[in-house]
Amino acid sequence: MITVAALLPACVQAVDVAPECRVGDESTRVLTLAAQAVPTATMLPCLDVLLPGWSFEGIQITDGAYRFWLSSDRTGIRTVRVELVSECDLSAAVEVVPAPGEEGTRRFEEPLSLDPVFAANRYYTFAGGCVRVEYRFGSGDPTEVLQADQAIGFRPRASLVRRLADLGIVLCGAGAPPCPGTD
Amino acid sequence: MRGVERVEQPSSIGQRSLRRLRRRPSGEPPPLPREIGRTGRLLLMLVAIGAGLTVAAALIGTRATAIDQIDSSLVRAFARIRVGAVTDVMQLLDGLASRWPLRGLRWATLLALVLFRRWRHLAVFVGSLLTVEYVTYATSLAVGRSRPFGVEIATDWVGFSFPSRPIASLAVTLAGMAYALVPAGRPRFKAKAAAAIVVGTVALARSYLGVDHLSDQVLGVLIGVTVPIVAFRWFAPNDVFPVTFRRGKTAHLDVSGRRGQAIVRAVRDQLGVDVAEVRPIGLAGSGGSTPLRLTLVDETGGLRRYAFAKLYAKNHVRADRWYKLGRQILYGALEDETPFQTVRRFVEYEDYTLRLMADAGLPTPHPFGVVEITPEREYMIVMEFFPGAVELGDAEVDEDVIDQGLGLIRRLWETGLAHRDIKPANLMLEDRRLRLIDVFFVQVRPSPWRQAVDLANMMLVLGLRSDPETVYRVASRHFTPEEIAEAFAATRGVASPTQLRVMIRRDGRNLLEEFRRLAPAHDPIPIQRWSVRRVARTLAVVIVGLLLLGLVASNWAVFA
Repeated sequence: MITVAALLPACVQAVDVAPECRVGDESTRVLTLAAQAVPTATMLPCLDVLLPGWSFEGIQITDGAYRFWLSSDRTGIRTVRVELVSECDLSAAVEVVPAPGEEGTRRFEEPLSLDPVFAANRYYTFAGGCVRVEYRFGSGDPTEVLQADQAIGFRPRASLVRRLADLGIVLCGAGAPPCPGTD
Repeated sequence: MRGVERVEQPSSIGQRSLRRLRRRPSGEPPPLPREIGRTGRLLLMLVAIGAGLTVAAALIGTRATAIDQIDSSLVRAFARIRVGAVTDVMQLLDGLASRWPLRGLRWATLLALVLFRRWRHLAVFVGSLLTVEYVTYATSLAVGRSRPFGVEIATDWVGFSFPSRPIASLAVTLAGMAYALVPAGRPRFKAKAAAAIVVGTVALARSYLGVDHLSDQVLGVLIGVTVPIVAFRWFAPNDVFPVTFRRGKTAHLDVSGRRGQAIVRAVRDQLGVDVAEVRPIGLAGSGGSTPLRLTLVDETGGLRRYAFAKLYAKNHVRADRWYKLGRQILYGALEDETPFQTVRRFVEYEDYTLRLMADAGLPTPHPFGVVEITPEREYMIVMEFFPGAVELGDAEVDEDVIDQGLGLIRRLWETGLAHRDIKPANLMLEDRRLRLIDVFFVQVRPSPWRQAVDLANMMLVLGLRSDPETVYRVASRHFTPEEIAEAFAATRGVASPTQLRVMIRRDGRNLLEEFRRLAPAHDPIPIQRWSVRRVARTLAVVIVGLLLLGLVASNWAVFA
């Protein structure tokens, strides 16, 4: 009973498998579902290197959105949220130069507060999609952002389309021929 | 002083024919064999198929398998024929399995079950919902199947596709409603057929919209239907917990159909007597067993007489366990509250107490024997029936009857026994002779506190149908004033059976206080008993209760 009670809380919507950037069966399954959630997106955010103190804290994939959370023993639980949608509101954000490893994307920053807690949004846009990263630190140094950034990577959708095509499967959306049922 | 007379007991059940007694040979099924039935076997088969399908899918993953080929071709075929207006209708139908309609159905069911105080059905319904939600969620993670490939998905979705969680949620809700709200038989069959049509229609709509594979839906239906059916059959079987919309006790077994036939056969084989009719009686006053009146006939079909029988099943053992746990938590160990572990022990104990009382010459029913219906699950004890007897609560009580009642308590004291359930329903008047029934709670060498309570309860019962002064005066012939004072100092609240407390409340007179005024002053004797066991059990119950609450609260999205 206790085991069931402990296991059940997350059971309604989440898909608790980490969307790792490295190629593997588990991560491919999750990223394939993510690709189906936002079929226009040509890039998929994924989990890269988790530095000490940082952890993956759950994922949710529904039609139209794919999001996952990160926690840290310094900034708190679910203090970073990464979300892929088809488009974002960039009216309050400022474009900056993408960092190495973010090629193929445009990056925008939207600082919200430094004190008493650090809060900011970052956006990556690319063909057919937008990734919004929310930083909401309950405590800790704002420079923890740099550590959190190490955990966020991108995988091109095209690599998934090719991998599935080798199995005779068509992943509808960007980079694939039109599918039946398309308006 | 007449007091209680030694009662001559009938020696046997009556027209018993020894040559008709029949020993069941080894290997022969009992009168009512325990069977899972045809639907039970079908369900187990379906569960096995579903489990096999899940394991296969988990092992095979997203590779193009035969199942995938069939699934994909079906979904693509639907996608090719999509037309705008039809798609709108299908999206509407798919909405039946979405959160709001399910919330409505689930809450309406919970509300109805609370309203009619059907706690057992409520617990099984909630348990089924949580189980299905968890199993489908865990399976979807284990398998990690993507949504259908090669088609445009035309409706909302959440998470992996295998099994179809909306279909499973809809199926468990509708099947649970059919079992929790609709009476068994034709009405339930119709409800299940309607549920099947609704689930089938939604499944068709979801295939058309390209959101589920066929195999996702098949497993969703299997889980969504199997869990509630198995849960209701196991934890709330219809013959013990029938669906009714009237208030009252529901722990009685249905004695029509197979069970009724089994009772007739069992009494004939094991007691050597033919039974013409099995009729439930006095159900309102009995929650611990199913009381029956058996109409007995001789071999020629003539010479009718009655026997009283009590049918015990496992649910009565469980009820006894909960009852005793509740008493221990609320009041501590008032007396021996060790629960019985088996149905066999139940009937063996009642048979023993009946014989003990008979040996002591007390006016209790004479036991005729124990009958096995289903080994270790159902037994029936058969005893003497008092035809024409009137419950003391409805009878005229004169000084002679009062004397008999108080003499009876004196005899119990002298023989070292306590009845522990002295109330109007357990005292019968037959030809102005007082009879004591329902000896299940009888205790040998009880505590002095319990003996005192028996006396006070008897005086209260007699006082209800007469006046305290007369009862006290007659009681003084059998007991000292100090003994009577002790009895009323020990008796309050839970010490009296519920029926007696209710009748005293309705009566309007403060009988307890009137008796206390008549007796010498005595300090109250506390009911509450504290022990490490009581504290530990209370804590355990609180923790389990909190865990269950947490379980529901943490899965609130299932309902809210």
